[in-house]
Amino acid sequence: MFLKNTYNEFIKIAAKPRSYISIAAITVLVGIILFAMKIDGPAYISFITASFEQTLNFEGNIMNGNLMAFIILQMLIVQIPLLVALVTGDLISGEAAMGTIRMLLTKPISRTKILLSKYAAGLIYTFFILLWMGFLAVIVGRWLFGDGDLMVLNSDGLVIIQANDIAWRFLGGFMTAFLALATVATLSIMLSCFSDNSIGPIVSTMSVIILFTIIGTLDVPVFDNIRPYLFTTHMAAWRSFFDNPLPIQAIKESVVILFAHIGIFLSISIYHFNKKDILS
Amino acid sequence: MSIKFKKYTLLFLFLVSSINIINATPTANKSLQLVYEKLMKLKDYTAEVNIRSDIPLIKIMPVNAKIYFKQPNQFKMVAKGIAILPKQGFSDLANILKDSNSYLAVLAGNETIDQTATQIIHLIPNNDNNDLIIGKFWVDTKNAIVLKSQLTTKSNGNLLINYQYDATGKAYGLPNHLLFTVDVKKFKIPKAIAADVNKTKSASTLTANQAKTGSIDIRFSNVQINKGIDDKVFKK
Repeated sequence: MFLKNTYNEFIKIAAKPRSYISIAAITVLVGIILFAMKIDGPAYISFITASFEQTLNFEGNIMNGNLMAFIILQMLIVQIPLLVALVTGDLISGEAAMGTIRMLLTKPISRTKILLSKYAAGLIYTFFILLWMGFLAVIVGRWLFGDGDLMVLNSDGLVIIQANDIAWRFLGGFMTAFLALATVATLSIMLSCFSDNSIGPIVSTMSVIILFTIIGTLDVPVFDNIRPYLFTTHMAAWRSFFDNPLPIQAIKESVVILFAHIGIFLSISIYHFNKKDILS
Repeated sequence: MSIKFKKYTLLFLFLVSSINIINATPTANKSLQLVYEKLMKLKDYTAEVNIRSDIPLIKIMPVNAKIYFKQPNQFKMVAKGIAILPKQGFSDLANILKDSNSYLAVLAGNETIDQTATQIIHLIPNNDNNDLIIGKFWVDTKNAIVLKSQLTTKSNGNLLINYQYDATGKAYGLPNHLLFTVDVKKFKIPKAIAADVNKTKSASTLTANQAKTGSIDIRFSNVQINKGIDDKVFKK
C-alpha cells in the first residue's frame, strides 16, 4: 500500500506542469553556461590563473568536460533548492488548498504512511532533477569539451585532480548534493504541513535558506557557535570531494548534520500531520 | 742584487703569471660562448619527463609527459593531463646567450658545485627594455655546461635553476634533471571566484604568504637527441 501510494504521489508530481519548470530551467541554464564557456571559456579561466601565468605555464587541456561539470554544479547548486522547494513545498499544502486532503486521508493507510509516501515521491523527484543536471553537466560537458584533468579553485588554492581520479569524486559529490537537497525537500514538506496554501511553504523555505546562508557567511564571532550546525553551512559539502587530500572528517560531519536536520524536520512533519485538524 | 733589479724581476714574474692565468681561465664572454656553441650541437630532442611541482596555492600530483624541442626555439609538451612548467628557463638558455653583443658578461668569482669547479658569471643585458634584469650563471668551464643559473626578470622576479647532466647530456648541454625554484609572492586567487562560501576568511584574496618560493622538479628519460623531428609536431 505504501509503495502504491508512493507511486500515485509520484504520478501526481509528474502530472503537474510546475514539475517540469525545474527540468526546463536546468536545461536552459546548463545550455547557456556550456555555450558561454565554449565561446569565452579561456578568458574565464585566465581570470583565475592570471597571477600564476606570469611565472608558470599550464600545459594541457584545462577547458575540459570535467571542469565544465564542476562549474555547472557550483553555479546551479545554489538555485536548485528553489526548484526543489517549488514542488515539494506543495505536496501537503497543495492538497489542502485544493480541498483533496480530506479525501486523501480516507484511504486505508495511516497519516504517517501518507506523509512518508509523499516524502518518498518528493525525494525521487529531487533525485531525477539532480540526475538530469548530472547528465547535462558531466556527460554533455565531456561530449562537448572532452576529458581531462580537473582544475578546481577552492579557498585554499588550486587543486589539480587527475582524470582517472575524478569519477568517484563526482559520484560522492552528487550523493552529498542529493543529501543537501533532501534536507531542503524535508524542510519544505515540514513547512507545507503547517500551511494551507502552496506559496507560503515555498517562499518560507527559500527565506530560511537565505537567512541561514547569510548567517553562515557573515564573518562575525557571535555566529561562530551557530554556524557549524546550520544545514546551509553543509550544503556545499559536495565540494569537499574535490579536495586533496580528501577531508573525510569534514564530510562525515556534514553528512551527520544533514541527516540530523532531515530527522528533525521529518519528525516534526509526522507529529504535526498526525495531530493536524483537517478542516478543508 | 740591486733593489732596482729585484723590482724588475718581480714585475716580470707578475706579468708572466698574469698571462698564464688569462690563458688558463677563459674570459666570461668566452665561457658563455663555449656554452652556447655546445647548446647549438643540440639540433633537436625528444624526451619523456616526470614533473613534480611543489608550489604554494597549487596542489598537483606528479605528471608524466613527452617533450619535443627543435632549434631555434620550437618546444612542445604532450601530457595526458595538466602539467605545470616554469614560464622561463626551460629551453631559452640558448636564446639568452645567442648574441654576445647584446649583453655584458662579468666574471664574479669561482664556486665548487658537487665537487665541480665553476665560474660565476653575471650577465647584464645591454637593452634596458629586456625583461631580463640580470642573469647569474655557474659555468663548468671544463665541460662548457651551466650547472646553476639565476635569472632575475622584471615580470617574474627570481628564477633559480639547478642542472644535472649524464654523460650524453654533457656532450650536448642537455640536462637530465632540472630543479626550478620560482618566486610565488605574486600569486593571488580572487576569493569571489573561489565561491567557497562556507569558508570565511578576512582577506578578499588568497596569497602565498607563508612560502615565498615554489619548486618544479623535472627528470628526463628516454632522451632521443638529433634524430630529426617533423615541424608538424609543433603545430597544434
